[in-house]
Amino acid sequence: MHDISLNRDVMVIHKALAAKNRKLFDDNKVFAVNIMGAVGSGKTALIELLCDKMKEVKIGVIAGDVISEVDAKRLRKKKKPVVGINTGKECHLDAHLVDHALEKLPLAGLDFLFIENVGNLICPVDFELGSHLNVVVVSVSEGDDTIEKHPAIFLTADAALINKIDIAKAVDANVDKMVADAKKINPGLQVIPVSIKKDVGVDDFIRWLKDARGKN
Amino acid sequence: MHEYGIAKDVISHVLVEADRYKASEVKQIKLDVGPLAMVNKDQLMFCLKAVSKDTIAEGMSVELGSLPVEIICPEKHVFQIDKPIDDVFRFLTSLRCPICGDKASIKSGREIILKEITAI
Repeated sequence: MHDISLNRDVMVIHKALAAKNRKLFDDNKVFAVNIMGAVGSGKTALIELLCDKMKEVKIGVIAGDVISEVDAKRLRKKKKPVVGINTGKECHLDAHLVDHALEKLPLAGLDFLFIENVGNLICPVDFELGSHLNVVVVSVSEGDDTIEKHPAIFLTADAALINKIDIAKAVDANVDKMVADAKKINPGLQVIPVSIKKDVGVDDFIRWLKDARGKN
Repeated sequence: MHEYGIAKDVISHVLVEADRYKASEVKQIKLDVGPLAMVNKDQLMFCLKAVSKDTIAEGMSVELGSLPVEIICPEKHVFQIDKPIDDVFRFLTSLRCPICGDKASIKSGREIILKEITAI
């Protein structure tokens, strides 16, 4: 009989790998942004638009998806270095998967790395990737109670983009309520209402992103 | 369901340790889950059972325990929360240092500790 006393935090390996990723980003002067949000909230569309609008900086992308290469293929059309990650049964990216993706991505020379997480408002919260910023995209069509129903992700995020405000009336969503809910959960959260499709508010986000990179 | 990923991590640690001791069967593990780890214990138990299938840990018993929650404020006051936290989100959004009243953050209570393995 073996009584093996361990007292080991099983999440430590993720935290250690996240720290390793962060060091790699810093050594290469790359500002890494983890973009989270539900399925269909507009994460891929946001990165596409950022690629179009941020012409003066060099961008790389890690596109996480459960099984497909659909998002990675969409983003490759922007002629940027893109690595797709398939998580299989997992509902979130973790530092280990990002670590492997980084082996395939030429980090040197990049200014920004956008990491598109798997569509999910719950699980990515608990898995640090090593990113400098965590951004949540939430769309009005998910219901204007989505933010108050998923407080954890807004509590740990640095910015929240409330997307599809151009169709808020059609889906009977109150954008002001969503902004207030987000601010109530996390007063320090940068909350920006946007329409990624109509390119409304995204310039404010880009300004904030560049500012955050400058402060890093 | 991040419980699946956590279960995979736990079982992987269990199997590596059992192998180190040349064990042929894992009888029991003791696992402490912090109240702020946002883990659904029923789902975690189910996933541990599923992930350990066809390994030497299949059929093991799992003893789930808890961990203390500590908060810390910018003035570095550390305070242990003794009463059970019914509403984790309300707790997290209203964290104040009971000593100076400053906004506090979590020092501990999110960990998932594999405490002990019993194997033969």
